[in-house]
Amino acid sequence: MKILLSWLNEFVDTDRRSPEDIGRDLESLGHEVEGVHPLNLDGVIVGKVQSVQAHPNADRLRVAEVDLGSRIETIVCGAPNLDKGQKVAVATVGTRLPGGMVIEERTIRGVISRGMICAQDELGLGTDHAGILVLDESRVVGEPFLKNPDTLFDLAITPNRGDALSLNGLARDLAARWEQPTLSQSVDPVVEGLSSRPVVGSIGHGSAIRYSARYLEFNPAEDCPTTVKERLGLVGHGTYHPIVDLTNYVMEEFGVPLHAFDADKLHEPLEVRHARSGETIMLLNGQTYPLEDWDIIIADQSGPIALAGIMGGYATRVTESTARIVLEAAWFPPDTIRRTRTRLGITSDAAYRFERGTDPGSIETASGRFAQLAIDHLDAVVGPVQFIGSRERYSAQYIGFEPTFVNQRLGTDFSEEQIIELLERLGFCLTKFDPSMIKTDQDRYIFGENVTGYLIDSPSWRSTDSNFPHDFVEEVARLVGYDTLPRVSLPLATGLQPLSDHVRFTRLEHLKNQLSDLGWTEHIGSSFLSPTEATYATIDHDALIALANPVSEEATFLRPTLLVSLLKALAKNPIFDPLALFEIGTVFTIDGENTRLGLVWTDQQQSFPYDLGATQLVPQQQLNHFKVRRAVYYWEGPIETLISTSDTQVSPHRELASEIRELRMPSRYQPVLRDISIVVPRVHAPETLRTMMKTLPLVVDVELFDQYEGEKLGDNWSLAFHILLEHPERTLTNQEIQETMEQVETQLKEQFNATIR
Amino acid sequence: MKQAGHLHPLTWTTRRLVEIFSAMDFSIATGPEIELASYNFDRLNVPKNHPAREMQDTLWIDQPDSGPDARLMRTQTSPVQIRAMERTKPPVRLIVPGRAYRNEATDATHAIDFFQLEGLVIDQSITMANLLATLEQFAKAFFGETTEVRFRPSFFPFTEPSLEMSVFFQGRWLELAGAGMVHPNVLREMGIDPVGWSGFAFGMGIDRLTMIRFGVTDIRLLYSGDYRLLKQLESEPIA
Repeated sequence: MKILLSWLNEFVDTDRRSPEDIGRDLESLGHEVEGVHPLNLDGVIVGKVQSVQAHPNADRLRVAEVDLGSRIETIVCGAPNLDKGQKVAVATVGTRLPGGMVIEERTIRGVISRGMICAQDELGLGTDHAGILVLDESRVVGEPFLKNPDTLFDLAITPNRGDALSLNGLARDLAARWEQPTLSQSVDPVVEGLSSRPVVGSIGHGSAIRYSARYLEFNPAEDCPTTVKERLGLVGHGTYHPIVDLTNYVMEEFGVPLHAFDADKLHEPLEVRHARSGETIMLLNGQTYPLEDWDIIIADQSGPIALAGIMGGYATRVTESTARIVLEAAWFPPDTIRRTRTRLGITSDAAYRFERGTDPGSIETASGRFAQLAIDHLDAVVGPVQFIGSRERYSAQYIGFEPTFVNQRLGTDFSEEQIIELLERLGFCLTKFDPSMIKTDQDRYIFGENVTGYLIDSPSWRSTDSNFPHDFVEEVARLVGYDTLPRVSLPLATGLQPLSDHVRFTRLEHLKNQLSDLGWTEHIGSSFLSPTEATYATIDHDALIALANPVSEEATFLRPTLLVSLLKALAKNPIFDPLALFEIGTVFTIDGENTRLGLVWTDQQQSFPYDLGATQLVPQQQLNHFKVRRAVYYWEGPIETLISTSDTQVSPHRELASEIRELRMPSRYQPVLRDISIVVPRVHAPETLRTMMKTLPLVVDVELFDQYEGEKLGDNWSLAFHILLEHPERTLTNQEIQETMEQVETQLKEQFNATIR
Repeated sequence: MKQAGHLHPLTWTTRRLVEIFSAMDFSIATGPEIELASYNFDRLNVPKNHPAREMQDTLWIDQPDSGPDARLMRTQTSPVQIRAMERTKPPVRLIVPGRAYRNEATDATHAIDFFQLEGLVIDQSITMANLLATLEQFAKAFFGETTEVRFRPSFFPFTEPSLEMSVFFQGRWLELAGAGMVHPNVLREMGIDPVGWSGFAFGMGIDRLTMIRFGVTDIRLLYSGDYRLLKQLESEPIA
């Protein structure tokens, strides 16, 4: 969810706090900040397109003359929606756009272009790139596109915090942290000119739904002011119709999704009811959906006119000619909305919010805010609100809260007063329980006999989330900030008995040590097989466990063997020889899953830590399928028998030879291996030679594999190295390989007096 | 010349984590990779209409709506905590290393199968202060004694309060672990009375830690079998 600092500032005084500090506060209150984007598009100014002509040398481009106030610039533009007379956002020469692009004078197919007419995404305001951003007619040529520097916060709100999906909600949290009041809004319009209320049939008894509707008449020739449209654009909304724009604006402010019906297309009275099986509705997206009897709909005498809380109907939508609306502001139960929405596969901003829980106490505030904005900007007159459903203060109550529970849970030592004060700052009401509160038998039943502690009323905006002591603990913790909480180490607990799993794990690691000591290298591969791989490995597909919803063909089946994984790893390393790989991993068959050890090796003389019994050669056809071009021996077996020996001398502890920070990332292209044998004075250590060779271009690794001295060599020794050559972006050419090796030889001779053998 | 072989970077990281938590008296629990919906969701307090249950995030073997015994590839190693508590009683300090699976678009930092380490402590007066200290101790042991950590509130259905821990490493804050106090509903599902017992749980990605520790830039390299990568990690010679 995106919010603007300037807009937030209308809900809570952010004073002189920096955006970074505000972001840190939001995060410590539980709202993850994915980005803080300064918006100060210096150099982007408002221009007016004087003329548009076809580009002489390019079909898809056009040449515009744009008036920038102090001058007229020629700008080449490829956007399909460019038109004469438009007000546009022009990035002038020298401007650095948010994506990093710097605008320069450029000659585009023979035409000099000075500047760029920008699309929404180029300005860092959203993702739209279909065409250029067309500005409101009221913009003044030459003025900065963004009149005031501002900051855009990109937040990820957790699913349990529907109350934070609005400026009002976030301001409330910040105000609690900063110990300030929130700023009041104009939400109480003067109701005059329209005395009637829309007729809405009452909702079934016992329903939790709350629904309000009011008439509103406005001037269709009026439009929202630039600030409204600019703000909507910056936080990711398109602009459509002044009424729709205002509903989005109020939704961003108060978190209550509103809907407007064209009043002249309605056949009142309206009803808020469950659909009847067999009914259908065509929604704003032009599609028709079948309804089921637990879907909540708004209906009039002609049938369903809106899918409540999800999307409005097509027939009653506002259009350019609408002059009179019925404005809906409501609360719908989250579970029903989610159920209907997922069944029909629809997504909408409204459903997103209702599913997470909107504030049943803010319905009339949101309706009033909309009405006030319409009065201010669209020349509207508004009628009174028709409210149906319970008007009771929507709250969840917990009886018997002990403030000491907070300390018990957090390890803190707040006083009772402090805890109460913190919770009250967040809107919770605490009343100390007192025996005089029990007046009737029903009270006795509700409160019980031995209630102590406090009664907590959760505020309406937290009605779906915070109702139990553990929730109140989290509220206190997040308000003070988790980083201020004490940290107390766990005491020693040496008496705890490990499970048998622990011993098994240790033995498994010991097995790995034994294998690696004998030259085996560990591979870890995917648990999945593609159908092709299963066929190549001659595995019957019917014997395999398949995923119901595979994300790709590669991951269709679960592997019943480690062979495919190991062969693929071998195929990845054609130049290393000999190679011995092992994998310890889970395989899956219809009989269950188990852990196995798989071994593949190329050198018949390869040794093992224990007797394997029969081993086999991988059939040539399988080697061909998996692109392995040498003979491969293979063994696979369950782990349990290998580690079941009661070996109490396990010593799994190994240290890494060095605490490496940066491994070398291998190139995506195949390397080449060359060997070199030299005789060199013993005064030069192999490591020195190795270090020198690694400095040469294309040499990525050097490994000593043979070393001897003897009488015949005198003061020299004979050294042999594997040299690994690699290019980061392509395969090497023969010439490059040859030249590199020549350079290696030259340097060895010159620097170390080596003789190449 | 006899050449020693090489252990996998993920193995090195897992061992380091086991070492760090063993020093705090944790021991290992393991469990199956194919799980049942009841262990992976219901008994972890993930309600039926939670987004995580939808097709998009989970790799299912059976149809998602087919009941508590619907099979799936476990999305985290937390179900093992439930299973472990069927075999033992509190107090416990368990760590669960193992493979988990998610239905995600794969790229340089996301794979559909990956390794996790989860932890569970249940005892009589466990507090959030214990959780914060344990995570900080882990971060310092893994990254260095002067490492800074930061906590922020988050949301998981199985913990309350919930948090994310970030560690300051090489000039950036990295979010490395999710954690929280075990939700009383989860304790009840384990047959443990939330009045007498309390606990915390945490989870971290072994792949992610491995990539940070060794400077591996693409998660897919960890599973490619590329010997050029694997050969770079060597054990100290055995004395």
